[in-house]
Amino acid sequence: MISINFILLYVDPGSTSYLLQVIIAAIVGVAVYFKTIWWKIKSIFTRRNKKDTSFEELTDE
Amino acid sequence: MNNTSIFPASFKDPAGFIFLYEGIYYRQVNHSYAEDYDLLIGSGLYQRLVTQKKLIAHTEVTDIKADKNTWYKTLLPEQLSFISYPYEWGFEQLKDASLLTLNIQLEALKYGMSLKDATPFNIQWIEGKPVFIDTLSFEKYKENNPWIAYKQFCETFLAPLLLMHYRNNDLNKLLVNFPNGIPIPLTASLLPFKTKLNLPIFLHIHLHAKLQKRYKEDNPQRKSHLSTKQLINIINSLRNLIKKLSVPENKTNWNNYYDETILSKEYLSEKQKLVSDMLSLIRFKTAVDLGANTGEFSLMLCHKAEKVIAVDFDSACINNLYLHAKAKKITNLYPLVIDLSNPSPAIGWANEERNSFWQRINADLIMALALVHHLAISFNLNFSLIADLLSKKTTYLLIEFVPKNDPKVQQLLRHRKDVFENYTEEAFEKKFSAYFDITKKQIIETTSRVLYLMKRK
Repeated sequence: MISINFILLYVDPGSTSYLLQVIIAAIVGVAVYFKTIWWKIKSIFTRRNKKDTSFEELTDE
Repeated sequence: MNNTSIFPASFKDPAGFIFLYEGIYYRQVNHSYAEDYDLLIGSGLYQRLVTQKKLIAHTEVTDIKADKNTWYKTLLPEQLSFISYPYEWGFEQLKDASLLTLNIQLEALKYGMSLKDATPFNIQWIEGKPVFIDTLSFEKYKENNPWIAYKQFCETFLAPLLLMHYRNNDLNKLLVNFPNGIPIPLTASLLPFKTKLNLPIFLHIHLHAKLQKRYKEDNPQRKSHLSTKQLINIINSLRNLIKKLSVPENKTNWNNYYDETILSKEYLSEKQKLVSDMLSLIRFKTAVDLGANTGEFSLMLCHKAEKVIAVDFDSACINNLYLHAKAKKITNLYPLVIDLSNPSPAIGWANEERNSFWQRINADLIMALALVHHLAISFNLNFSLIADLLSKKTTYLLIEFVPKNDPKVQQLLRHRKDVFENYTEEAFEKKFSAYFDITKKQIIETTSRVLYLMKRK
């Protein structure tokens, strides 16, 4: 632990997390893309009386 | 201005600082932060967040300047009546604070701003709800840039929440040792293997830890581009992950206290009546309930006091009490997880950034029901030590003495030698009388326990 912390003191604290955010964005983006398609398919077979709030949470807010 | 003192917790931020002047806390905005501050106000974000009670409100004052060289504005923020820290909160409190931070970040993005800090130390409780108190944490959002506070959010919110959820209710106490955040590699090593199979946790923690190890000597050189939509997706991924977390269904030490023990309902209702009678004899604004247990009596205090701080070492009890207060919209209760045998220390630079628990306590009334036997017998504290400390912190004391023949005391003595010859009602009264005048004494008839109302000498 000490060695990791010690080394991290000399690394720009944001840079690894920036790279990570790009990776996560790509993966989450794919997940959201497929979920959207799935919801669209589902909506063909079910009447959309209710607002699909989970979809909104993922994209709009 | 000479008679101002800069608040030790705020010296790190070049954007400004908190200072104390004639007993009131102000915030100076420095010139270097002028553009961001004007955007916060001009964009309407400040008004929006204050209306939603997510951000602390302030007014601008012109006649008070702490440091003229760097001065841009002086703000008079709404004054906080009590400060607590994330290592003293229950799980649901930390969870609510983390969701508030993410919601504020989403709201800020709509107004072209972004949070540059995301730590629970920027959250305090006003009227029972978490409120973001660092007005200078907002900066202009630069399109295509990742979130600068993402790592800090993972280390100070996500890490303790996951450790509490998967390992132990009390692991937010790691923030005492790691106030700047529990290192991601440490968090990853403490979480169970199955968390690697959970995609969001794998990404935000395990992959995060791997990347940190891999790039520990070289910074990754790639320029990172992230659209606003992608950034929102990341924040929503954190939000959805945190929303699903809950505290493990631990059996608490106290939750079945009244049901399981010989301490019957009769005892409880009689004690409630006696306590209520005693409370009607005095006036108080700030009350502290030490050893609050399930909070039955703290809630009684809430009807009479402006502010009630309820502490217990049992995190599950405090968590339930917070949920109860939230559901009933009780606005003047501060439930905190505090182990009185080892309360929160003063931490940070020069031990001045965060005050110790007792430094923050100055009460009109301290209530200590069914507590003294734990302090005296479990922790070998003598009556004088207890009375001395309490007399420095309160005017009135409502305290219960539990005699040695009580089954609860017998339980404490079961596996240890009885070296407590001085644990008697007479000794208790004598020692406490050195610091307090006993105003009223009442025996709880269903037991041989005694309630006292005392006033500091």
